[in-house]
Amino acid sequence: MWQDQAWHEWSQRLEKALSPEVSRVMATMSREDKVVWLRRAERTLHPVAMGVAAWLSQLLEAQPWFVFPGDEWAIREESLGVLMSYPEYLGHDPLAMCALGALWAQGHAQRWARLVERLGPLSVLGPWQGRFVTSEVSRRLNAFYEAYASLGNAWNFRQMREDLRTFEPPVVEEWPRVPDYSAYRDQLLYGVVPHEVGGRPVQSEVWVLLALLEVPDDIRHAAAPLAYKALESLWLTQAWARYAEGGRHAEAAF
Amino acid sequence: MVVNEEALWEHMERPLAERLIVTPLLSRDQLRGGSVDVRLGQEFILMKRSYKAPIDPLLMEQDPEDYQERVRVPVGDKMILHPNQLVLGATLEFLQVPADLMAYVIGRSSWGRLGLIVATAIMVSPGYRGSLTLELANLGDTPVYLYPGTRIAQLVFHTLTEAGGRYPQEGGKYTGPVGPEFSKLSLDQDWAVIRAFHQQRG
Repeated sequence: MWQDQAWHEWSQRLEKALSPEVSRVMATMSREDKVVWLRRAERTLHPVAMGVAAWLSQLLEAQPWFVFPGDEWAIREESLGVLMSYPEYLGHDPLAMCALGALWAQGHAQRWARLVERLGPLSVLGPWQGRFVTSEVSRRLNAFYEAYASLGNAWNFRQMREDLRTFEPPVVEEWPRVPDYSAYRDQLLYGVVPHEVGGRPVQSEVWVLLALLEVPDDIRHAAAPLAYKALESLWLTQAWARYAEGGRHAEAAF
Repeated sequence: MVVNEEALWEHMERPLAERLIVTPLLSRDQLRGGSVDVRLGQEFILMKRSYKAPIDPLLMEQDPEDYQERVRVPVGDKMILHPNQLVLGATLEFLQVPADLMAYVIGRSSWGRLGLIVATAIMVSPGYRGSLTLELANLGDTPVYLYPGTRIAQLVFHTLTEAGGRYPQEGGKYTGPVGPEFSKLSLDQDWAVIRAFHQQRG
């Protein structure tokens, strides 16, 4: 049929823009599913969403994540990788993009344990900020409120309780302690990229994102790029030091 | 007076409101002598030929996407700059210049000798916060690759005889950009007068 021929040509044209890895992940999909993901892949991926996804997938030791802007949160797992989509209008906000962690964890207890261990409170705060609240997130809320009761005002538990309903049966996980990150919050409120003195990068991505949570709504849009710049600066500094060290070793061997 | 290395480090340790911020400093030797080497960032604005209209500073409310495109080139990748092409880049570093300092931006001659001119708004005012937008032009006859992360210019800091000449914060502006910014020529106050002349000639 000519319509099938036309569909084939159209999908091939869209597929040309995909990386070979993504093409391979999509190869086994039905035509209907493929259209949905090709449409998402057509849109421009926000660098913040890309950076946070790369960081999280590495932090969580997950198989490769391929992230696309869409209209909603969605996930499709295949043996060759994971396709994920986020609401396009939130792509600029690194804290909201932490919802990718909960999206990936879905109902897997082991994944949640890793998420909570490595991302700490952001495992719940990310989905709340990214408006991706599932029963898996809601089942953890009571233990979360209890673990971080002293931060209830700073993190606006009152609003959280209005926005989110708890869900049974509850899951109790060991929530990690949160250190003092107030210096990063003060820097964001003042309007500069969070940093350590002497131009050094921040110590932890999580602390910067918690600081971003405390920024009032009216400056959140301007503060989000500053927070992301701090994360990107940390990643670049680490990679730079690694390659510089590698280069010195290579020169010494030469 | 040009600020020396020791004083620059000392400014970088001060309380937040008085601090010289240059972050990230990928290597400590970016700050040496009386200057700071700044690197090329990863965001660019490419100028393109509009099929709709010329750039008219009097009518800058026209959609900038008609004649510009934002691209991101990560460190490790490269971007070509053709002869006579102009692109807007930005420093990788986010800066805050304290109230008692100002800085001059100086393009590196090693790039200039390849035809690459880093023509920027040479002076960085006291109180400025943000990355610096860099106007990059290839004046040579051969295309040149730009590599984000390379040292592209130097900042030479000077002390002020009297602190307090702060960068004007337009309309309660919260902070500066973290990437390149397109021209803000249309914000100049003189345009109202020029427009009135223009309308009278009509």
